[in-house]
Amino acid sequence: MTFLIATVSSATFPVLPALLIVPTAGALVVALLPRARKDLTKLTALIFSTTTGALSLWLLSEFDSDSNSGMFQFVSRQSWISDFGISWSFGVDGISLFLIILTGILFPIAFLAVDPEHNERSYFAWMLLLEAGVMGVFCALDLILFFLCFEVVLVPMYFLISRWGHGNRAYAATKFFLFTMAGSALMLVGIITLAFLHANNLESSVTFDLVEIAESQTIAQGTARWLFLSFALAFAVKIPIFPLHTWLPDAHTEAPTAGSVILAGVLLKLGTYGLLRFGLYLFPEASHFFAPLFLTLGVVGIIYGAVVAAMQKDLKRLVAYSSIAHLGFIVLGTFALNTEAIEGSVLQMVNHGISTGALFLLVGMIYERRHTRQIDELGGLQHSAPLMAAVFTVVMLSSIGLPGLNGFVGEFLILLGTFNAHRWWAVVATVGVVLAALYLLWAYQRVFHGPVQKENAEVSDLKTRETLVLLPLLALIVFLGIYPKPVISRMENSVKALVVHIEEHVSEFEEPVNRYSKGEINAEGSEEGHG
Amino acid sequence: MTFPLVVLALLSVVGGFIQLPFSSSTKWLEHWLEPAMFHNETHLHLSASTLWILAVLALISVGVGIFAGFLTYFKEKIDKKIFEKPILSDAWKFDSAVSNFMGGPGFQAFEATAKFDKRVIDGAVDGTGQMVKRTASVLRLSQNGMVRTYAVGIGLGAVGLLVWFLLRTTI
Repeated sequence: MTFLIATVSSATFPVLPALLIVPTAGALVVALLPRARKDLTKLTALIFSTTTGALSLWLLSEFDSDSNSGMFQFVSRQSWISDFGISWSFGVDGISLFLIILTGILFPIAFLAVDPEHNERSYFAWMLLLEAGVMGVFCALDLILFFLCFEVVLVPMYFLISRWGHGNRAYAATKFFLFTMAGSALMLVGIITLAFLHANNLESSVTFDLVEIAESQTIAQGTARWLFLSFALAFAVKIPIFPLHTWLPDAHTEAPTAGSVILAGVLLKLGTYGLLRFGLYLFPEASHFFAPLFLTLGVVGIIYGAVVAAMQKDLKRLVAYSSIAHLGFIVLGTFALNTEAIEGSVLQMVNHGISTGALFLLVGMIYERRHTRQIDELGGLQHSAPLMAAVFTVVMLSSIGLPGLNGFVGEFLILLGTFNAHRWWAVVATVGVVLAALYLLWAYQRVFHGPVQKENAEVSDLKTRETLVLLPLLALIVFLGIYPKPVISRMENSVKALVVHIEEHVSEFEEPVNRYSKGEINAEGSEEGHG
Repeated sequence: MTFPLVVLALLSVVGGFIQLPFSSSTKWLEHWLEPAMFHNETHLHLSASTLWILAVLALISVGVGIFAGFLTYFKEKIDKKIFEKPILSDAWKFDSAVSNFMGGPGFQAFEATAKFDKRVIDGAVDGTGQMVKRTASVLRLSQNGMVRTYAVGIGLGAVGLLVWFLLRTTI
């Protein structure tokens, strides 16, 4: 049994707990601000969220991408409920690093971009609590701590949708809450069963430590498969994987703009991140066993999400359905079980957060001006708002996956890795790239091109604040498209370690790699190693 | 239209210069995607003579094309109808084929999928909600707050238990 944690010493400042504590403290401070000082609310929220963002960037600068062969860094642990082996333990590796940074960047942007229409204090307090929960999920190395954060996220999101949302908000919020709760209830059972079986098999005291349980792999094969399913169901709802996706279009459409940005940008990644950390790492054999199922559902999601997106009449709903297609790519890459595809998936999680976050911001800006999201009521906006049209074009092309912009690198890595592992799944998934161009370009054409009608003629272009908010996202879209190396090189060791971990614990499994580049052309092609 | 063409012409020079075949360091385009390619790049090894033959062939075909164009449109020695086939002016009918598909069967298939999502998948979710509501609306009748209803329930339960107990002990 190897304990990865023991070998890693970290910086003395507990930066990971701080990522959780700063926004929580912010939520409390904002909630307790005097009612008379309305002017302070947004400023305070911004200070706390930018501090969290700065901490996440500091984490990036201090992260050691060379040594440690992909182990957890900045590990910090405190005994919490010691009778049950529950600890307050955090750690970050190349997989979670960029999701933490994405969260750190997106929240201040969402705060800056949109002001709530009413009840500022509770709005920003919920938002900050949401940030704390998300950070907790990405940093937690204890199963109970992870579950706690995973569930805490639901509460702020429920209130954000139901209080600050659009027309059908009560329905959407309840659907979102019930759907996700139903999914994760089984995960709690899974977590407890896993910890007690693990303790039983080792005849030791109960522990909920992720690394210890994952590295020792004491659970019998059949049981582990059931336990994997209990985790996977929770993540499948969160991602969402077809056919568990119908909460998403409603929640995204009815949520306030900032809520949609965070929901698409960060919250969906709790599911895909969960699949990597608490699926592949915790249950390598079961993940390998169920991979064909998830690969198929991933491909179905890609095509299905794209086709349904194309038919939407509501622009925000269209973007929401496009998320189902994009997340399908991430699921596909995850279960290809090789380095390229998993790296592509992690990169795509970040890319999707940036580009879909920006798309929701833009849709929100259009709605603010026209008070409608119906595509056929819009049209010719590029005459009245050329700058907005230009920004929309870049973001849209990134979402389509145009080479030179960030979406391409992630999608390409996923397709490349999947092709080496499961050729036909990759071939069908590629159709999704074409469909993405179809629904997004068609939507762009209907919203921005064409003759400009009366109300659309008076639409104002981007204001300075809106431009400033979109600028960092645009910069990231271009930068990650041209030079993704800094991101890929930092996640490489951790992803490789994960693949090696799967190889170690799955008999007769070898990482599916490209055999042609080695000069051996194998007639059996992709089937090797997947019997 | 002139200005965009001038821009494109200038850019085409850039397009040629970013992949000069003289040495590895001048093949900028080729190395651009390296971080995303990993070890998946496959190199095609060709001898220098093959490369030269291919380059010369490419240049010859360019020359032939330019010369044919010159004869046709400048000197008008060749009838331009030989080149201007209707299928070419229709771009191999590619655009119209796509438009016909997306305007007809493609659109219908997409629309059907969207309806399937709304009615069947989302319908199943809302249906579950409706089912819970309906079951609850029947079950709640038993919780009417009337003491006598509960007393009847307790009485029936007691009788049931007694019958069950008697059946088990005597037979």
